[in-house]
Amino acid sequence: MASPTEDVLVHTICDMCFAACGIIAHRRNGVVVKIDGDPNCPASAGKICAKGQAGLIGLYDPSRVKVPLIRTNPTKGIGVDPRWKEISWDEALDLLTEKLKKVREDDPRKLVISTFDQVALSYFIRPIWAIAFGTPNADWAGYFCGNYLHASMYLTNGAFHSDFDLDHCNYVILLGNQQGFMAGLNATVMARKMAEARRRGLKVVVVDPVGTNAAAKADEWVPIRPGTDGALILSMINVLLNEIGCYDSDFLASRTNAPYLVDAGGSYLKIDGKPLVWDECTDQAVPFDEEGAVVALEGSFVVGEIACKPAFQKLKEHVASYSPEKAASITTIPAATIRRIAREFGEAARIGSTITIDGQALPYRPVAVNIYRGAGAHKHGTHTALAVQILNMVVGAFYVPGGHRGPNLVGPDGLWKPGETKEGLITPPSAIGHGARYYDFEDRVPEDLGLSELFPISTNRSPMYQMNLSHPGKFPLPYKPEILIVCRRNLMMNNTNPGEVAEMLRSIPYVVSFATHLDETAEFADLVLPEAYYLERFDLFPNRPSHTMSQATGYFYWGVRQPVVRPVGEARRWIDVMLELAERLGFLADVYKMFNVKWGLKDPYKLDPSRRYTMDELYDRWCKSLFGPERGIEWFKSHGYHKLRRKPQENYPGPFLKARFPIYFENMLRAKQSVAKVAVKLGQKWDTSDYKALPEWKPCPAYENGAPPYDLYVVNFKIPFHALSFTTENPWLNDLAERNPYAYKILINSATARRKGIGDGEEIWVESEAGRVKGTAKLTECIHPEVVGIAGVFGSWAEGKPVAKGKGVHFNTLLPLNMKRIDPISSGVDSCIRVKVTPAA
Amino acid sequence: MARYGMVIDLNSCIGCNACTIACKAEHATPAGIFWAKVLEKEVGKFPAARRVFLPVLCNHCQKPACMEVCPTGATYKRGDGIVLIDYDQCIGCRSCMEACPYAARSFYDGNGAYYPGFTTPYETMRQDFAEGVVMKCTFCADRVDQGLDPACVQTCPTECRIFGDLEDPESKVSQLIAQKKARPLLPEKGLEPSVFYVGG
Amino acid sequence: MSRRFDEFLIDVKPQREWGWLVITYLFLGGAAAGLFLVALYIGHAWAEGLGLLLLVLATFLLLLDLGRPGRFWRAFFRPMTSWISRGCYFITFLVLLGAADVWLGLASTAPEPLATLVKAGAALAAVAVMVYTGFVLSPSPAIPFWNSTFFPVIFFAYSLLAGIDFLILASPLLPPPPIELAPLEKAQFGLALFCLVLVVSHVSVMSRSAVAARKSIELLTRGRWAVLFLGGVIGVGLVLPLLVAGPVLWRSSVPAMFAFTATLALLRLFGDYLFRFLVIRAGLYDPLL
Ligand SMILES: Nc1nc2c(c(=O)[nH]1)N[C@H]1C(S)=C(S)[C@@H](COP(=O)(O)OP(=O)(O)OC[C@H]3O[C@@H](n4cnc5c(=O)[nH]c(N)nc54)[C@H](O)[C@@H]3O)O[C@H]1N2
Ligand SMILES: Nc1nc2c(c(=O)[nH]1)N[C@H]1C(S)=C(S)[C@@H](COP(=O)(O)OP(=O)(O)OC[C@H]3O[C@@H](n4cnc5c(=O)[nH]c(N)nc54)[C@H](O)[C@@H]3O)O[C@H]1N2
Ligand code: SF4
Ligand code: SF4
Ligand code: SF4
Ligand code: SF4
Ligand code: SF4
Ligand SMILES: [Mo]
Repeated sequence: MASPTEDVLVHTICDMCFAACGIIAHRRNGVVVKIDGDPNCPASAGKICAKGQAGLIGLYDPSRVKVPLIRTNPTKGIGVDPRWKEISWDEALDLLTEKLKKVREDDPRKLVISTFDQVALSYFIRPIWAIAFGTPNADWAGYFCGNYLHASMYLTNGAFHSDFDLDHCNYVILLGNQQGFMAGLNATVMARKMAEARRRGLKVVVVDPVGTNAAAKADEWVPIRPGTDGALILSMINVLLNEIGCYDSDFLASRTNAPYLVDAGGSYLKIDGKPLVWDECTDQAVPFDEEGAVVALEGSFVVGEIACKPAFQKLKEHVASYSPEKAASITTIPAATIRRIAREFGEAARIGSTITIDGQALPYRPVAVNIYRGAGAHKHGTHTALAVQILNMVVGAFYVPGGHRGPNLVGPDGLWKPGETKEGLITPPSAIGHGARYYDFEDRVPEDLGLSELFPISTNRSPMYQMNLSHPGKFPLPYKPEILIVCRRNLMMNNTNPGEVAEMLRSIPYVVSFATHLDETAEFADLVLPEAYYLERFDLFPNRPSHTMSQATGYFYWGVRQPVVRPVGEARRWIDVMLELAERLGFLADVYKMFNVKWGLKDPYKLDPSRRYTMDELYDRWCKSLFGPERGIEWFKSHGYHKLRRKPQENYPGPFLKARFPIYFENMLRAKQSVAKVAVKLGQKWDTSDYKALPEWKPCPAYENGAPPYDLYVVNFKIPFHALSFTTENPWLNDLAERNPYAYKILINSATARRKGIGDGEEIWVESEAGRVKGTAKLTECIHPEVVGIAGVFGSWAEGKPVAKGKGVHFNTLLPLNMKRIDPISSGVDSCIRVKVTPAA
Repeated sequence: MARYGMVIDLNSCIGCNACTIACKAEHATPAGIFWAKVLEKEVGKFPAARRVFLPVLCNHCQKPACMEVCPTGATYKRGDGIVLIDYDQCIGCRSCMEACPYAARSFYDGNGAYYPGFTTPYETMRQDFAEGVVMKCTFCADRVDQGLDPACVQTCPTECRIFGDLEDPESKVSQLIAQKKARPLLPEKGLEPSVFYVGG
Repeated sequence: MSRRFDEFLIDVKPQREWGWLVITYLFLGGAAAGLFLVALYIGHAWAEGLGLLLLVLATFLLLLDLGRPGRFWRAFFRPMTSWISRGCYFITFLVLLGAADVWLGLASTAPEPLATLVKAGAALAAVAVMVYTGFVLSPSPAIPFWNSTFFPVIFFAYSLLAGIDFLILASPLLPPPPIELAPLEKAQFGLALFCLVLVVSHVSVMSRSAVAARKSIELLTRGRWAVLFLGGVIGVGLVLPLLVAGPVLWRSSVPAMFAFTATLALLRLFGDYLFRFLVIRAGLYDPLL
């Protein structure tokens, strides 16, 4: 293929994590010799991380799956050789078509799909292929990712992810996350902007049990006892509202439901569907949208015999019980520190100030609390996340310059915008919320593995997939899953104790894995199909302009991932294969029709259901339909990016929207009733006590247990040069991790270790109720004395990952999966647990 | 004649190691050998403890101890201050490694491939080092000659590595050194490094 | 693949590049030159020859240590800056002039002036070989424990000590003229005393020097190497021979001299080797921050 003097640069997009940074791959004589950031990419701006730099060596990994493989050993188990036999694609697809045909005729819901491939999941599988096939079971991803956060975002503002305005922010509290320190979403642009912001004086407070890379750079590292963030945040709100009276009353009155009058039962007072507020001029209750009303935020009123209070008054009274002293005893953070940080936060918010951007004066609230995985990933984590949103709203730092915000509440040129309930409250744009219904509930009996109706206030019910598969009959479902298709998900490593997961996988009659490597999950497959590596692939718009693309990039932009080299062996992009399967199964036409709708294809680019299109043609039509005839896929291949600079109202939609951000969640009370009904229909005793109009802190199981010898917490954190289990087979990153003092070790506070007679570098056991792991102790001052830390998703055991095998410690082995440890609202799994730590003599 | 140098802002460095791997990718350095590194240590006691990151590379010293002790002349300094090793002249005596206070050098035993028992096409094409010699950071001389920044500088996500001409008072490096009190590592050794650090 | 997992830590780190080949060279090379020097002094051609033989052997070890032995000749290219390069010349001169002197000494037909010239040259070369390794270490900016002006002197003293000990051990095997042991043993007493003073003063100086140097001393006096250093180098290698020899030496010549001095010689050689070993192994780099 390559002329002897070939030397070309290819615009493409990294896929070593989800940030999807633009890269330029340098190919010489058919060999990729270097990957650089693409200066034209608004995210990477030419600067990429260690993982992105390391991508090229993985392309040439000799352990990659090159041809379809079929298992010849019927027994499945960890360490059991599947005795793979190579077969042709035709054989493989005939076989698979056969299986899928049977299931589809019988009951399509018996097909389960698990993928975290952003492109496939967002544009093809979940919204289209799965629907066309007829299965609701295609949303099986992480168990303790943003699970708790996303629901809180949908509830309070309607975006999916969470970040903050690094262009103006002066004071940020990172609550259990490392946003801006090469973790989190849009990792490179956030790291770059964070560095700029810190150089101009942004103060960073990192609240984390572990002294992570983020904590290392923070102006203040506040070690916290795991699972107690809710108490900290509610206490900070208490200080602001009840101790120093620092809050943005204008914002609360006009942009939130703070003034909505609430009766003793917690429900809004309404007139023909419209919640009432108290007008202080006329001293009477008026509809919330009454012109010229001077609304009351505080006090208690009587409206036609009904005693009521503004939601804000309720909030004030509610948080009053969270004194810093009480929070201190829960979090181990001194009361004085809590008061100080609350005050600093409140003062830095500069309530009342404005800033002029592109000629428009906008509220200027340069503070934010950002929550992600760590603080959220606990039972009751949804409450913690909601408390965080409220804290941001209390000072008005919500979708305004300097404050907290989620990506892309408003689309380019109003391509999408949030909805509004009849109560005047904001709901996710359809482009983001895909069918989230948080205000009117159906108490139908759920028929999906996620049990949607049992978890109405959630964005992703992945843990329930495993719950249902592991314990068939626990929840009555009208069918039993028969086929699992996995792509780019390591169910065995990333979820909970692999023993349990193995049991579950064994119970599924037929497992198909699209894989680059025979990873821990592929080892349980009956059929393995070789997937193309990202440098061999063709993908459109990997960084989703709706869900993930951070405003920090300054643009809305669309890019293409294109092959730099031919796939090894017979590897194929699984999307392409899935479409071929649809054709073989006879529903490709339906898929095309849905493309026309979901992608909003305009004439003349609409697909003709009677035709078969190549990926190139599909993408070409999508591009042209969006951007006109001159912006076809070829243009993207050669130019890389189509960019639109963001306008202020797209960056800071807050002041431009009419719909209000709730600080009080009346709909939770309705959800509670619905869930209770559904539970009864499912024959479940169900705890609905978490459905509350205002967030609380409740102890998670780990907090309550802790009886010796299980006296320590174990938590998990990401490191900047590895992503999940995804990068662990990369030999450059492994080389680095082996030399890193923390990556492959078990972090334990020096004093704690000494007390337990453990020395630095000694082998230790960490044991929980679910399992135990062995590893090398790293004595450190940079971790909470009650906590041991295990990084990343290491400790691989798959034969097919010789580089990763046996390196580092597998955290998830310590996590059981049971209802006691699941957040009743989001269904997220609690990712911290009590452990016993002993020397491994 | 320029004299090339680097300034690294320790306040901005987040220890992400993009530089470390960028260098490896750019130069196909052998398994286990890193020309760019990010060193770490902890300071203070809990809770007032934190980790400290120190990105290091060859300092391209004006008075390179490595060059002075080199018996063959394999180690030499270019007019622009870049210190290089001629792999065809190096006899692998490693006296330079003993002499360099910065542990900037590595001895290459010939096992460079990353995947056990398999040499990737990339390595075949890019790993052109003779076995038994000593190697180190080249300041990306080849890139610099093309007017590019070194690979580690080019990729640094926090833009905390700045490369330029120390002799040009207008250059960003000179400016930084002038404004913030930049210092090299172990100045007392008297090797006059061309890599400076600010902040931290 | 290198497996140095402390590479990414900011810390005091041990030098790892020079191992037993270099250590043995330092010992043997020095001893060989020392042996040659005394042999020259007492005019014993065979002993001189033996010294040269040892030197060639030692140099061979040095070659083995190179990454690319085939290119050893390039090491002659930088005598103006590199002590290793200079060493190559010293060794060459010593071998050539030494060989010439042996030949002359045996054939003993050379005209006086030439012979003395050769002797003088060979003697100089021998001294150079004994001291230059000290100069390889002492200027090192990297390893504080090494940069001390003591080293050339210590190495000279130790080389001479070892050289004489080799002569003592070889004496029964050597062809005539017979070798007088009593004066040698007396010389050794002085030398050993001298070495002891030097080593102790080096240690005391270093223990007041840079971080890494202090750590080196700690290793030698309290840490990992304490037993070998205090017990081996100081005790067995120097103090014990002094104590044993001291009382008897100046009494009229002791009977069964050889067995006695040979034993002391072995003890001292053991100490000398250990000394060279520890000097190299206790070399530490300063932390970068
Ligand atoms: N380099 C890198 N970047 C990534 C990823 C990766 O694997 N590597 N993964 C991507 C994905 S999928 C996601 S979801 C994001 C996640 O991005 P982040 O959430 O920012 O990354 P984490 O390191 O998981 O952050 C969790 C932190 O919470 C801390 N923590 C644990 N328990 C608690 C607690 O109870 N309270 C508090 N306050 N802190 C706690 C942990 O120590 C850890 O530092 O990152 C994305 N980006
Ligand atoms: N211990 C621990 N557990 C975690 C987390 C953690 O930080 N630590 N993070 C949690 C979070 S936030 C999330 S989102 C989940 C994520 O959980 P997963 O989505 O399962 O994450 P990965 O580990 O990236 O699994 C990806 C799998 O796809 C394979 N793969 C890599 N490249 C390709 C490709 O190009 N094609 C195909 N078909 N496969 C490929 C990899 O070998 C790997 O087995 O994990 C959760 N679990
Ligand atoms: S952040 Fe993620 S996408 Fe960007 S370069 Fe690093 S690994 Fe690639
Ligand atoms: S790339 Fe930049 S920020 Fe990252 S470790 Fe290197 S120097 Fe520090
Ligand atoms: S850092 Fe070391 S290798 Fe680099 S020039 Fe200075 S002395 Fe030589
Ligand atoms: S190893 Fe090579 S570069 Fe280093 S001193 Fe010896 S010859 Fe010179
Ligand atoms: S300058 Fe070039 S060679 Fe030196 S560390 Fe940076 S990338 Fe590596
Ligand atoms: Mo995630």
